[in-house]
Amino acid sequence: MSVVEISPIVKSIDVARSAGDAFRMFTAEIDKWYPLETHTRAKSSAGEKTIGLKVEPRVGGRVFETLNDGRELDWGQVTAYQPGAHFAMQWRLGRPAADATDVSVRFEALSDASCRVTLTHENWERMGEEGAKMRENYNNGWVTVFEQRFGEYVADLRRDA
Amino acid sequence: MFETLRAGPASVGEIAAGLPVSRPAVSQHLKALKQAGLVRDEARGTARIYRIHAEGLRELRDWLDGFWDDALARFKDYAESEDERR
Repeated sequence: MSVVEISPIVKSIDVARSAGDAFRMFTAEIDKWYPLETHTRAKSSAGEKTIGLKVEPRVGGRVFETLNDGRELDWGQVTAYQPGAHFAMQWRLGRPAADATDVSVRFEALSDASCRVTLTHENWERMGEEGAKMRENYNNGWVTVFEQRFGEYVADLRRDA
Repeated sequence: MFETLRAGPASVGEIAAGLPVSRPAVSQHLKALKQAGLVRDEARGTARIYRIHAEGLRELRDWLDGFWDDALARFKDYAESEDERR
């Protein structure tokens, strides 16, 4: 039997910004870069759409998304908030606290204008059904893009032929 | 729960014995994990035995791994393009 190692997912990326700027952009401006269209709690099949994502800037603060109908869905609490150095949050996605997964992001200065961002996602296996739902949403999103865009492309080719 | 199942297949009772939660709560969580493809169950006598479904777990891990690659690449793009605008 093949065994999957249940170890944290660790990702590292170098960014040409100071650690302080990168921290601010990662947290306060999370809605500017996070893939809201695919990786949220919104059920696209039910017509829900995520229009906002916010991190409250303190330990114990909320991380939540806002839906097109105004409802707010919690992702989890902020568990570390040290500007320019360390941000961590629970990634509960509606699951009980005992099933929380933990995302931790460290910002390490490489120079005055660059830093290394290292993200660790621990206990990811606890995502359970929410993980599956997200995956499904993501797949649906991709299928839609593929079928529509590719379908249109093929239709255009036929028209031109 | 996964810690228990990592050691080998177990029944709901065995899993609940090591956790500070009720048996129904364990059952419900196992059901959700089964739907998500992360565990499998089989009947053994009158009990249901649960085991980790390695393939489902690997799929979730691969998916998350790829997701964070994408998300961090987007973060980098955003952070560095923002720099040029100023």
